[in-house]
Amino acid sequence: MREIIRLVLVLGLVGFISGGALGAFYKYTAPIVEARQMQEVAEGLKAVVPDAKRFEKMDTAPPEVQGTLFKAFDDAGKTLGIVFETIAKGFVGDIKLLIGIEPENKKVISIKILGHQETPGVGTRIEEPGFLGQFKGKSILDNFQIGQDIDALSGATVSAKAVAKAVGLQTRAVLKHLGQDVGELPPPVPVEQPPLEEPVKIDLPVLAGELWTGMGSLQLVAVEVPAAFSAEEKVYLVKSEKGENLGLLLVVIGNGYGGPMQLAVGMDKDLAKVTGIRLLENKETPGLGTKVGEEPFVGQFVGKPLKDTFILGQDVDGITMATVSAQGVVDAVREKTRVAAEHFKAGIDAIKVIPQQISVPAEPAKDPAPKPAPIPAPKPAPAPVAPPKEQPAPPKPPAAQVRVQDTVAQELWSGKGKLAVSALAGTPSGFAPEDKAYLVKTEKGDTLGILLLVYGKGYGGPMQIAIALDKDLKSIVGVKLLENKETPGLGTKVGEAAFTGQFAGKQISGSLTIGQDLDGITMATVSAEAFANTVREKAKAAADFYRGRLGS
Amino acid sequence: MRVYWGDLIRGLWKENAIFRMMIGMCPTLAVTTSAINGFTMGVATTAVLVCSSLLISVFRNVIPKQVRIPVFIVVIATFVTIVDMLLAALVPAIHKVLGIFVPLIVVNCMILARAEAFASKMPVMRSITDAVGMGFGFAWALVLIGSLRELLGTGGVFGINLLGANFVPWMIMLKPPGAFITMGLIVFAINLIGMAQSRKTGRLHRNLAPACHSQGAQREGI
Repeated sequence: MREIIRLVLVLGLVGFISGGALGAFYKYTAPIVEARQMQEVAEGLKAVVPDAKRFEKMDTAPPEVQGTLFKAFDDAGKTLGIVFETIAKGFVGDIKLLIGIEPENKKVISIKILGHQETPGVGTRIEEPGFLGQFKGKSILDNFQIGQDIDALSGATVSAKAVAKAVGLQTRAVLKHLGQDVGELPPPVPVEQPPLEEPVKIDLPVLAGELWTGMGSLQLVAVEVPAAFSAEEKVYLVKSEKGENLGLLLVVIGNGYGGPMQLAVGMDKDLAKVTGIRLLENKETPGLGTKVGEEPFVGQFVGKPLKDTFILGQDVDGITMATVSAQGVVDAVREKTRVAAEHFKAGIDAIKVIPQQISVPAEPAKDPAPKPAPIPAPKPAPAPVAPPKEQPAPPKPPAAQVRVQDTVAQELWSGKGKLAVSALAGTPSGFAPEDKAYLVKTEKGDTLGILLLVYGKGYGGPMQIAIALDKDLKSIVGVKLLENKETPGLGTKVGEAAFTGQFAGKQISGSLTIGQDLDGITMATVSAEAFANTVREKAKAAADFYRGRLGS
Repeated sequence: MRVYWGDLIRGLWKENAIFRMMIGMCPTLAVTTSAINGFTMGVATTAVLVCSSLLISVFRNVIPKQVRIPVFIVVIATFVTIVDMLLAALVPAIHKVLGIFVPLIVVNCMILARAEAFASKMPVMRSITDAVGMGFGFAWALVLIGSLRELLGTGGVFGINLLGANFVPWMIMLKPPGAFITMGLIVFAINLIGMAQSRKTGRLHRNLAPACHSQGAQREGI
């Protein structure tokens, strides 16, 4: 027993001495540590109230501000203002802010970003002095609305909004906490959104052809519109040449960054999936917001089931620097397709047709001009009104317009006067149904050669190529790129004379291969190869087939 | 005097805690991202080791055997806390970097091992000499690892650029794997020296790192 007491006493004594020693050291070091920490804080606080010499912690803070309020004093002990740290919810995570205010004048002295995790190069722009400087001397009673009293940062809207909103709300909360009358938060000034110019030029036929590819000639029939749709929003029933219902084409308005944006949304015939979307008229920032109209983004909607959540950042990838635009598209597609699916839930075949029809000519014969889409095509709205009982009317043959083969032939055999172009019978092996061959003669009746209007598979989709062959079917007279979906400025270079000119005079039996007897195009390799392959194969097929049959 | 020399040299080289005994690995691998961190950690550990060895040696005859380990731990913990507070007050930047590893000096088994194996049995002066040797042995090992990692990881040592602006830093050296790689290579080099020495003298070098110890033990038939 005595032994145990001795052990306990020894341990107790050791603990006691240890505690005493620690207490003494703490007493010595604690003030040093605290002074240093306070100095660190003060250095930081000075960033927003540069004239301050001394800071003092305040005892209370409003619940909106999750930090301590500091009073700033100058040399003479005069109060300069209040400084506090707070948090804004940024695009990625929290943005730590230091805000200095002058409560008497209800003004912001300045603000500083202490830390954030915003997207480098994009959201990080909130650190730019040009942006932060706008808060200097700003009245706390202002709106703090991006695009109104605070200039936005293009590409970093969400981050900028977060900062502006946090500064506005938190400074107000602090003023209120100090017993100042701040009144009510002024209602947000509605952003003036200029309406889209009327009439909206939509090329519905081309549009439908893009969203329902490989269906040949399509018909669009305007149908009744769900009540929730606005006056500018339209619904079209898309039918195949044979009159089968292929789906619905919605032309709807979404809220973009720059104002309303018009979107075309294709829905499949079960109204269960999106077949694709296109951005039409819009006021998005060129190069930023307009990215929502580009393939990487719109491509995500192809075949997307309506029961998906359609949430940006989850099942739809956003676009860096174009969050607001992308959000607008996703919201519009989600809402409008749901409304349409609900409204037409009786099934697509039960849809009532408004007696009005837009006939869509088959793709090949649409555009005589060689330039890439969009093509100045027939106006959609007041299309030929057919008598109601004939609905749905059989597909009309291409309108009596300038025939593409005439124009192209004239161009490829230039200086031969007026040409007579007539269709050639028979289909060379290797020709698709939509590939066509024409016999080209002068006005006097001399055979010049044959003209092929054929399709190849380009980078962006099918591309139509005109190939002129001489009358011996030995060499190529010239080639021309017609309709295509190649990337503007890149793939479309295969349509330029620098490339197509290489084909003139080439033997049909030659290799016609990029990198050998043909020069390729930088950044348009796939398009150029597709073009050359198509010319080679179709020209050979046609030459083999028609050799010996011409002249008759 | 020879006795003291032996006590001192043992920790510095023959029984170096890190390269020979491989104890106290946790702070060794964790804090040696730069030479200065290794140095500070080494000095802090040495301070704790010397102070606790001194105190334990002085009171070695009064501390009851049954509670010696708790007493050692309390003594060590007290000195560690004091060192921690001093670092926070005097060199806050380094204190921030070392972070949790300063309080963890308490559980550095090297310190308790020296208290138990040496200070609690030896006179005060020998205990202090041993503690200084062990502490500086620990410190130079940390500085060496820290220097190599800093050199390859940033191009300089103690913040002074040595490899020029064109040097592309090896980021991995500043990450945990870099610590293991550096440690492994240094131990390899030291064992090479040890083996060369034993070949020269014709007898088994007694102070190889553990892996070689067991090989040596096998060869000796122990």
